[in-house]
Amino acid sequence: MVDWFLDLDPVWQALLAGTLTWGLTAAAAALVFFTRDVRQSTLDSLMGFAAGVMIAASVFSLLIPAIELSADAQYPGWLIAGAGVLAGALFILGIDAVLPHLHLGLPLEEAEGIPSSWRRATLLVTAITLHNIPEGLAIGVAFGAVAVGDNGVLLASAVALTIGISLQNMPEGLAVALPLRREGISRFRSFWYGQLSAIVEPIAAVAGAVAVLLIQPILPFALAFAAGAMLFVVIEELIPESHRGGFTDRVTMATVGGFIIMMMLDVALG
Amino acid sequence: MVDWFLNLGPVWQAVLAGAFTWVTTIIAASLVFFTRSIPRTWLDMMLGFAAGVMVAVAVFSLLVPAIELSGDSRYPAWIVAAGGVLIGAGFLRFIDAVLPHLAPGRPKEEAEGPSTTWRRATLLVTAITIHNIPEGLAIGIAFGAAAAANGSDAAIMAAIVLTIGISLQNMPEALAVAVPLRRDGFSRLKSFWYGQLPASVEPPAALIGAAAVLFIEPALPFALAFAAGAMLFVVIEELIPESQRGGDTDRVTLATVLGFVAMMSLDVALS
Repeated sequence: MVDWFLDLDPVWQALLAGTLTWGLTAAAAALVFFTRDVRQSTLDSLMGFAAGVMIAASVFSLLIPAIELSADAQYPGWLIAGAGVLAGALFILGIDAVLPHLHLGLPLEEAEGIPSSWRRATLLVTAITLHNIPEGLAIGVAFGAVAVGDNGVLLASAVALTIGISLQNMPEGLAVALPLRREGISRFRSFWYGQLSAIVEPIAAVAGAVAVLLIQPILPFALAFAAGAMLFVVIEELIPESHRGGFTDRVTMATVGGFIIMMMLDVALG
Repeated sequence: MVDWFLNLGPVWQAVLAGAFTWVTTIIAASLVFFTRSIPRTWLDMMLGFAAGVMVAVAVFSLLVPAIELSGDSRYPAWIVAAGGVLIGAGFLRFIDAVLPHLAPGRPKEEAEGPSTTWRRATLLVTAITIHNIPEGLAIGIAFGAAAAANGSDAAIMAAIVLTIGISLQNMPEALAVAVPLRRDGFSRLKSFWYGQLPASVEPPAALIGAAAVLFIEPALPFALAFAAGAMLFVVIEELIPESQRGGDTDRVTLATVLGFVAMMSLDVALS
């Protein structure tokens, strides 16, 4: 099974990895069939955990390989990594400005993006979808990197990244489904919207892998780009959102916990 | 001048580096003599920039060397790094719980820690002081690490980069204390005084960090990770949420990413 996966084409690997993260999101969203109340402090801690995983994933699984790979490029490594991070952040900033979306826990009037007549549930889904695009891209780029760079360390990074992102998708799936359920939407529809947010992951993963394979020299830049996109989401959304409930100390420790687990995954596997 | 500094003992280097961050804080706080209002967005962007610098410092200047150094220790590298980060964050969590303090921009009722009759200005100062302790420790540990590596160029560069990064991020913090006090009617001199005060803990904290590393050399990777954990706690618990409260989240986030990129570039380019 492991060998079979390793022998696959990187685009297929990316697609499968993206699908795995989607599947786990759906599994987590399915919890909504059994319960309607999960305490806010628990949800916030889970969200903080996700933020920690994403910070460590950006740094250890994406940026450090990007800097190492660009050691033999014609430009200095820090320039490529720096430019990639900035470009990735600007990319999400652009989507943020255009795509109508609503952050959890805020009234409908505070929806961001261009004005729309979309319903609340849809806007919540687009908000989480926004997170999932950079995550999917990151997975795709990481598997593309394995094929291009042809070394085992990169493969370990890609696998660690997939595990980390799957872990952190689960609270996000719940974070959409539970509030909807609490607002009186049926179990099935709450579940449906919860998993929907992650459906972009396999798609973005394939896009990331294909981009890297088509234009191989951009690989270090692409890794940094994915890292910048993830960092933007963490700073602009996950951390502030997870602190809104007021459980700041607990949530912060959960974030540090997520960071440590992702760091251990990457260092132990790599 | 550079040679003179490089030839100093690590403890002296740490104290001087800590003093340097304090001086830049003094300069920033003295802006309050010239102006009373700095737009909220600017302050938020500066805080965000500081947060980005600190994340990059924690990762590139502290954790990566910690993992590399513990490569030849008895335990797997990730245990030392993970344990250090966890205990560093737990340490700050503890200080946070026992020291009364008030995050900038909040009403006095929202003060954290045990209840107290301290005044608002004092509470603001303690809040920023909590940040500055791990920063000073980190500087000291980095210079101690350089000495333990027999003064290798890369290690000493990392320590200097760390000092520059922390100085940069002290400046908005000083203003975050001084400007609101000035707006509340405090005199120029008193606002300035409170603005620079928190950074005065940096030289002693740096001294402690350097001395600790020199006394217990095998603890070095752990100490680096400890400082990283403490800094990550401050960024996640305070700097990012505070800077995002003003509402101009896009610009503040870009400033944070810029701070991260600037510090990462400094670290990678110099070491």
